[in-house]
Amino acid sequence: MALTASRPELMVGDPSSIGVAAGERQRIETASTLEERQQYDFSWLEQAVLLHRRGERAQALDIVYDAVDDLLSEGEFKQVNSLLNEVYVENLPSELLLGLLTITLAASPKLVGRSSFYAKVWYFLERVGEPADEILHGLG
Amino acid sequence: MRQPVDQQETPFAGEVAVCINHELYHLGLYHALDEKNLRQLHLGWHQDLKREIVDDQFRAWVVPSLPKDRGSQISAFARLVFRKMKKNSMPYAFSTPVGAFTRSGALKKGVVGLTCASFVLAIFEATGVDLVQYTPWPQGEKDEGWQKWITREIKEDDATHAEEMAKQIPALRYQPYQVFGACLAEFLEVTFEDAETFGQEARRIISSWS
Repeated sequence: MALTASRPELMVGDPSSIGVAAGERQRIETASTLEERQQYDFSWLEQAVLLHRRGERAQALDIVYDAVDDLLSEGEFKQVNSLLNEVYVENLPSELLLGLLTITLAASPKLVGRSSFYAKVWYFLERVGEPADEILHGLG
Repeated sequence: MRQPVDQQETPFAGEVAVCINHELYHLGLYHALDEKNLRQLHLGWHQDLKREIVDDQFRAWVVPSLPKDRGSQISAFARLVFRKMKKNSMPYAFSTPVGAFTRSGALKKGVVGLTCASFVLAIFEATGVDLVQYTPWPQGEKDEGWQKWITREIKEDDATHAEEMAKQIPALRYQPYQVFGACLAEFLEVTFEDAETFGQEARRIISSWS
């Protein structure tokens, strides 16, 4: 079995864009309102990024895994959807992007924003010259 | 084919590896605890999930053919499972490793338990990495007898759980040497036939070590 993932079919317009297709965005918007999103506290993600930049990669990943795990365990799918929708992939180390995709894998049927996030990560990796099809194998 | 590495000669250093004992009947996972420390995670027995400093109980290790950059994710999921299962305890039984863990790193409702080998498979599977093709996987001649023996042993400590285990028999058995063999392949989703062949080759190599 080759270590590749299939290219996501999501983007419209410029395929190198990391934006979200209009139709997809509209679908995601229904998952949480602006008001709800403003209530969410994703400061743990900033903490994870800071730790990662300091070289504490394992601890950074543990923060991501624990935080998302807590949200999913509490049934906070809207909040996780909002997170995946709001994350600006270029601001996160690819290891943390992979962490978000990995820890949300089993919950993907309940996360309408995940396929869009997956596509954003895919195109981001391609833009920075990484083999997205190899790296994202099994995470779609 | 990848070669098994002798832990006594070349101690594991890296993100994640599958490890096996010298007699090839017990499987575990070496993983990074942080940037400096490694641990071995393995299901030793019923309600006995162990995470220890790497010692000499596992003789050989191999890093499976993983997708690029995914070792640290498997390692992070292994750490999450240990954090979760310390509270819940990890039962031993013959459930399939496919979808065994919930999104929160705990065992899914209805999963009676795992073996040492299916526990390792389940960790990888939960992170999107299928080490083997789970079906078709034939029933071994001795599998049912082994499962009955294990169930009798566990009955002495936990009769209620043993009743649930007995209902699973006969179950598919992913043997430690087969799973270790699958990790020697240069590809994922290894068939039973290849896992068996590579596993026997691993046995030949490891038994030649003093």
